[in-house]
Amino acid sequence: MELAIYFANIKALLDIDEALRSIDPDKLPGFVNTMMFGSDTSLREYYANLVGLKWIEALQEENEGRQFSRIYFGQEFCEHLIPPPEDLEQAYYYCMQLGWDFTYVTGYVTDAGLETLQKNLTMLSNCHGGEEIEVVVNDWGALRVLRRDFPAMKPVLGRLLHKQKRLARNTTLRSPPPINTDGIKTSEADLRVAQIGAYRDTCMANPAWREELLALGVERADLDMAPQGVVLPSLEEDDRLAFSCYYPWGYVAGGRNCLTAGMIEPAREFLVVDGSCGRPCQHYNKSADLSHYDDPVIQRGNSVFLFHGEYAAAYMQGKFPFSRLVFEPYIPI
Amino acid sequence: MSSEEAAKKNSVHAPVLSTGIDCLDSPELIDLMVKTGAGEFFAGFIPVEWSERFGWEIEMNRRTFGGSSQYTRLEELQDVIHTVHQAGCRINLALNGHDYGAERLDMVRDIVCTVDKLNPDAFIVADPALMVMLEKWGVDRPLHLSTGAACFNSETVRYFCERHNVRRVVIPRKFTLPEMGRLMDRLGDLDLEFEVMVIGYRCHFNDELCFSLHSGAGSNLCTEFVKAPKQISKRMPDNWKEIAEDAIESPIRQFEEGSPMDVFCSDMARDVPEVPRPEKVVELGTNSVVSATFYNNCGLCAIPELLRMGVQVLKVPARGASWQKVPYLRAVRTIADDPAADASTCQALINSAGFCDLPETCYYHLDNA
Repeated sequence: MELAIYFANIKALLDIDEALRSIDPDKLPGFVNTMMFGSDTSLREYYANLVGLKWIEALQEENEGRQFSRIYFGQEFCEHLIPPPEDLEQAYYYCMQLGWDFTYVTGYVTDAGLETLQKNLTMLSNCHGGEEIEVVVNDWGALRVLRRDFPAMKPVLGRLLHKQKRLARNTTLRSPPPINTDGIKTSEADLRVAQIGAYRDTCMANPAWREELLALGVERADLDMAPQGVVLPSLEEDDRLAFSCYYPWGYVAGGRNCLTAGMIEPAREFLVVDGSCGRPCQHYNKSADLSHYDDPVIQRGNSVFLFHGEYAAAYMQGKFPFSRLVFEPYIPI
Repeated sequence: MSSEEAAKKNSVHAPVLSTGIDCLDSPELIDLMVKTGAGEFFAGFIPVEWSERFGWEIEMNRRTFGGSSQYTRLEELQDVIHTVHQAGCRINLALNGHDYGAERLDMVRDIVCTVDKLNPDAFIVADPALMVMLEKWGVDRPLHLSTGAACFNSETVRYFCERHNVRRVVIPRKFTLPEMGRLMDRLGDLDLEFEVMVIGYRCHFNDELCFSLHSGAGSNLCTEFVKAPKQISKRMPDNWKEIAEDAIESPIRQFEEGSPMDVFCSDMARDVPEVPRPEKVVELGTNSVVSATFYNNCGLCAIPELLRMGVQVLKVPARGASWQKVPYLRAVRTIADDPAADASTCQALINSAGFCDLPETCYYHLDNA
């Protein structure tokens, strides 16, 4: 399995050594958990990052010391955080110095954001001398632009275009969410089995849709891990479309309104407001403490993320045909 | 822009009000809705075979809260389509689930091909894979791109239009009015209708970007999220791992003044903004809680500008809540038909200063609202 590492901004990328510096979370004295990670929902992210890194190291050991060989760089979730061309250029050349492959990550965008992406793609195209370079697209319009104006670039279907349910739901702790049986004769237990099966079954299992993606020049799709798993074609069945998954943070929900932006401009918590954002998310975290299965959901900026717990093992151990794992040392906002 | 084009742009037309209906709406209520100003309806259909197998939570459309938001018997759906057509209105069927998978597709095909024979005016869709399948199944009815299709930019709309029989774009709710204007301007060469939502529940997250579960039983992530108290903390300093390592190496030292942990705890607590408390507003008119429970979210103030920009269809949802539909329609129709309407007109109509002061109740951000 190819290993990629994902950074949302240049500062985090240039600090890659720190991102990969491992601390065994099991060795942390209990008081450290309380003092560093225990006071706030958002701070649990940092502890979870240590756990995620430990799992990645175990994966590397199991794969004969396989190292990272690709950088994902860019912004999936917020138009205000799209890296400027000079940061993208620096990230690209930094990656080339490492001798790794480069993937530019893009998000969903308005027409104004699309113009920003076009500038970045032009810069990247100039840097890379017209050779194939990967671009993750999370917007059908961005894919259209990529195919029309940058045909040498290789589109990767982003995880926001694969709308599999991530099983996120407010629940009583350690209980499955209730099912609405109003007007239904089938037992709740049978419904739950059928629903889990349906949540596994996504458009990626549909051969006609995979053909459509291939016709669009998409040869790789990035997916989030999901607690229930996912139905994908085996390599014997169809090896033309490759799959990647992200770890340890999965996207659950988000919006163009932003809880954190509302700290300095209250209307932004609920509404989209014209003009630039002060980007308080780069300095502060604002989140809500929600009951949610065993693994927490954490808000970062405008999006909610789910830490992948034990079920991630199935993804790492080859139960599903993923050929790339994208490691997120931090929530990429 | 020629003077003719400018005049066309500045002219305000009477919008169509598209209203959600369900099995609880009697023919008499539908007739009343037409008389109140509804020019179009939309509905969902979930047959018993689907609900008995998958429950209400697996999407045939985005309303996954139970049978009261749907039509569940084909005869009922057939009757309502006939009733609506007899009234000279359109009716569109929602097939706007985000992902119909592969195993479910045989069942989806049977449902779609069955309801297609009832001659609805369009299908409201979100899943690009379903759009491909509709073509393969020979279903060529006009498509309305639901918010779930995430049409955030004109290139996305063109992507769908060059592949499918798209008649209408439902503009995402999380847009500013200038962004909507730019989107529509850039698509001026296409023969498209534009629809926006202006009243009723708005979703805290973007529907098109929400992959959490929804059900009519228990609480959903979004509603709990809005209600839950929020916590603010600083992002950790760049050297947080050093501090943790130091604590592993010298636990007892951390309890001394000036230790790395002592400094860390002080820094993390310093200059953290407080979660702002909502300002107390003077409750003139209906109490804000009452109004917010009734209207949920309101974009009446934006209607005059939306119409000037060229929006043709105003969506009035509320499937599953028959009692809200006529008052919603009346409010939207009143503002849409009043060329002089402004924020004060809307606020007088709502009659709740507290409601209008709450940012979370607004649909769109208006400087003068």
